[in-house]
Amino acid sequence: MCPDLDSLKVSRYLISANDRVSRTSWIVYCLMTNALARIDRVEFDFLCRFKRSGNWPELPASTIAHFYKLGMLIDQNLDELAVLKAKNRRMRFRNDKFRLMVNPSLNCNLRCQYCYQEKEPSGTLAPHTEMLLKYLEGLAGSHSVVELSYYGGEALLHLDWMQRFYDSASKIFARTESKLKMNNSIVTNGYLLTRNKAEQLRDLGVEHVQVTLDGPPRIHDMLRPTLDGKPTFSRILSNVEDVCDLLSVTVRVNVSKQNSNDLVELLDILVDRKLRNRINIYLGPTEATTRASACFSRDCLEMAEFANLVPSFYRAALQRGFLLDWSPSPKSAFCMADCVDSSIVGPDLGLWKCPHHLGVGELKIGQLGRDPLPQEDALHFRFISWDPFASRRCMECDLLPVCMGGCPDYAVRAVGQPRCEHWKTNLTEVLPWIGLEQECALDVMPQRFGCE
Amino acid sequence: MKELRGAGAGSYLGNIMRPDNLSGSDGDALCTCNDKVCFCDGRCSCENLAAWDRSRLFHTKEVYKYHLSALRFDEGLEAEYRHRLEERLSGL
Repeated sequence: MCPDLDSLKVSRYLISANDRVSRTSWIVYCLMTNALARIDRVEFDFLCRFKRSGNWPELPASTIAHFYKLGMLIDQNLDELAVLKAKNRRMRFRNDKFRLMVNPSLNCNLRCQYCYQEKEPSGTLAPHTEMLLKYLEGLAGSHSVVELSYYGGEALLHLDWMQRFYDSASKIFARTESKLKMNNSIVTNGYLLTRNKAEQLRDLGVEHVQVTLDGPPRIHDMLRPTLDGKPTFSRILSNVEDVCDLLSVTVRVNVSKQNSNDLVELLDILVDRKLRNRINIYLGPTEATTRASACFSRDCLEMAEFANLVPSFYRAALQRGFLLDWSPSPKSAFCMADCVDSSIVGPDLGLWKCPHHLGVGELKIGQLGRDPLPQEDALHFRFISWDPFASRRCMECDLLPVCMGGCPDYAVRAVGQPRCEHWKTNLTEVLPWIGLEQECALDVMPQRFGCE
Repeated sequence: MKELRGAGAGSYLGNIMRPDNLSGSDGDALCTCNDKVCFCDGRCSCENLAAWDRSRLFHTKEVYKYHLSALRFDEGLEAEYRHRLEERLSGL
């Protein structure tokens, strides 16, 4: 049911771009609802001019109703910023669910040039298993859901312990009203990701893995060698081929000055290996915001430089038949760092808010087995009191629904002000490509799935 | 107008007003991709749904609109998709 035109307005969170192929239509994206549509010139003129200038073109009632359904036209009295703020508060301060990221160790079998992690403490969590289980038992008493995820270091070095720990934790939760959930994704460098390990991961409830390939072999092997300097590309790619029917695999490409000219070559390799649409792929900027990665800072791209690469990468991928489906989407909070009920536990039972802080003593927010120190409390409160809605830049930004102020660590600690995501710079340019792939995929899908 | 992707989670108000309608059977309002609101609006009715979970997503005809990346291509479908892309890109 669509209300009267008089009682409607255009969402302030619409972004549109002229379609490069047809030139006579536009792709319009609503950042509040994630809706995407192709519209013609009259419809575009309507969205641009409705209630903003004295005249706007008339549209059929059915089109108005469709805009309303997609959240592109909204009720006149709706304050979208208030909606965003409420979503953000609810997500960050909910107290029914606790998210715990467990790091069995910071050990890794690779020595990536840009690694952001400290290598200390060097032990493993295994000797502290009982203490960690007690902590979980306490969480079960105070939360209806506890979500467990594993990280590292290289998590697959500890897969057997991870399985045993999860089994022990499940037994504890079985005696309580609380539910233990295994996060169904894991990040690994992929070097140890054999089919056998993939099956173990499936048993653990993991369905999705992210691995990293930083370009063709000559580039990747330079950036991501083993500890003793051996190449890793070939083995990781073979592993991906072996497991991508068991697990959903996403390939992340960390982009820096070292590989920014070689990204398309990686796409061609994936095509040759028939992996084109058996995996997902996306780019991420390499950053040097920690002590451990400081030596790589001169090789990192500025965010604007990274943003400029994305549209041409997108186009190159579509020209090769990839379905990237890589686009921003609405979120309630940026990550777990600014949420109250979340922690990251390190191999020494230290607690942190952000994986980038792991191992850094002065960024601890606590230690299992003792009360937090005053300085630990202070850092914790800085994170949970960070508020993108106190930033004029964020409040005025068209991308707020999909970024929610960006990386809290950047805003709170590393730089002291919010950092814009790359979509801020390139979304208008990428939007036609996103629209094109979405449309092509939708056009072929109904034939197969009987969709309307 | 051609709708290419539906409005997620029914409406953005749904996140506030209808939290039990968002992500399936357990009443947990958020899916396990952690910080993103699940866009299936409860229609996929599976617990632990993540946006990129390829294996569970064809529970209803509607879901594909929200989880395009979940599309599992077979060779024929991929060929059709590539053909469409080539047709459109050839105009550039």
